[in-house]
Amino acid sequence: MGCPIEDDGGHELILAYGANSLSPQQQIDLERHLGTCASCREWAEAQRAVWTALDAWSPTVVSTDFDERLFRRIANEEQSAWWRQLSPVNWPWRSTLPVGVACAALIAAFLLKNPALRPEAQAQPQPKLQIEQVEHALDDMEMLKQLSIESASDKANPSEKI
Amino acid sequence: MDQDGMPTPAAQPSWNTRVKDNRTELAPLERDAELMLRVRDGDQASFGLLLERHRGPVIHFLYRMVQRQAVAEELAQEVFLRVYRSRGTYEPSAKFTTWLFRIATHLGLNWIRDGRAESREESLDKETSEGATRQVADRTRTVEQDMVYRVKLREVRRAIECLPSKQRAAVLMHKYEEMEYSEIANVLSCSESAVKSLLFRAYEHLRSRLAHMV
Amino acid sequence: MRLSWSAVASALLLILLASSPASPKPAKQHTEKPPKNVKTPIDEFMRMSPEERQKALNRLPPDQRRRLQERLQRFNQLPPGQQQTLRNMYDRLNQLPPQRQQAVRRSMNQFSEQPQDRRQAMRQELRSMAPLEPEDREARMASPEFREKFSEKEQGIIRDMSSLLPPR
Repeated sequence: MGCPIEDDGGHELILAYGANSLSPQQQIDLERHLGTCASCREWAEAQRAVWTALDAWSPTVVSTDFDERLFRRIANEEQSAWWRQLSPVNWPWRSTLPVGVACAALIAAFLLKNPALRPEAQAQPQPKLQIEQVEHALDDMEMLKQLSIESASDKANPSEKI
Repeated sequence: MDQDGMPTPAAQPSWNTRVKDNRTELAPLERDAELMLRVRDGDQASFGLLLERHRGPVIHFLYRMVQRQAVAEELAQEVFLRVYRSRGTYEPSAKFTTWLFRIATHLGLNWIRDGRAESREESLDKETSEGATRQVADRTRTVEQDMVYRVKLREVRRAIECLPSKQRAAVLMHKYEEMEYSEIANVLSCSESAVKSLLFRAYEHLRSRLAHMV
Repeated sequence: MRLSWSAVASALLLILLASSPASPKPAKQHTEKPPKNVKTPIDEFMRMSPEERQKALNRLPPDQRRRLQERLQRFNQLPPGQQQTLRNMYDRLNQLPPQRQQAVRRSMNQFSEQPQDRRQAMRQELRSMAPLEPEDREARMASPEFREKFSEKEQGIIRDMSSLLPPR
């Protein structure tokens, strides 16, 4: 066995070792390696300690009335939905609805005419780039690449895998 | 006997009571989708069965995410409400637990993002006494052991709380729900390699904080 | 009072709308215009200094770091036109609301799982929809021919992917 710290997927092996989820043979092989590699041994021991520590956080006791409260909420929701359908007469919507709609349309028309005022058009402070964002962007690019929908302005090139 | 060959209960239980019949113990996980399809078709007892099976894991997951019992139960209620509301359009395109935990994670992450938690010190202090008593009681511990346990628990909870929220969700699903990388990826809507990266960094942080605890 | 507010608001609305251009947009050529300042995380990463890039990469496990570097190299070696097309699509994807983004990503995953000939058929369909106006794209996807040609799953994939086509 090569050194898990350096190998492909090696850290997953040590995580699995920490979780006691390796197969018997994998465990034997890894423990043989741990006997000779101080860095891996240290890492594995630390990971096992973490696993044991996390085990200490045992589950909480759920409230005995959890289900009852949930079903009550569901029943209330269904009842109010039924009531809303049958009885709009108590709403003052007849007088306020035209004003509301007109105001909303005014705001929308104003924003459409003044795109600079849209929140997304204003400069936002740039958060620090995380390496995961780069990975996610590459994931997206690779997925998009498979669509290969080049426009007429692109040079005609055969599709290549990223 | 019903059409599955299962003994029909003597009286159909009301759906708003805890359903305890032998279906809960015998049914394999694949039946989650089947139960949900029955809920879609109007069978509310099946919703009770799903709740019975998944109530605990969802609440425990959310509790570890937000570290407040009352909030966790409220969020868990919202999870099951959303499941129930979606029953009309449910299609078993993904594993039921993936869908369930996707909703739970989304709600948990939103709660954390919205910063509704009190300051870390305050919430942990308030919760430690509450939280410790709400843990499943272990009557075999002595007073000293109990003290040590509480200190250990506090360290673990602090370490988890220090993790960025997505790393926290990934670790909780990996450690306590024993989910595979692929399922975590589906829940978090990211790639498996992104999950591995999240877990690598999360466990690195946890090792630095907890490895001394043996 | 309420009535007069309503009347004033409606009048203002009419004035604003009346001042908008009423003429239909002229037919556009099917050319992809680069959107303004499309900056992807990849571009930001490449603009960092070598030291900062290395520092960021060091946060990954060694195997993942190596894979990421290889993927970056492959992307940067693509022809500029192809890179721009991908950036544009990436930008359109990220402009969608988060839930739509998730749905589109799921559809892209499903697309990659389809057999080669079906992927080709869906790709061809999307290419033929690219020059169309959005209403015409909708009409196409509602047509009996489209529904006969593609399974329900494929129709869903195409519909989601069409969000990434250039706007007309």
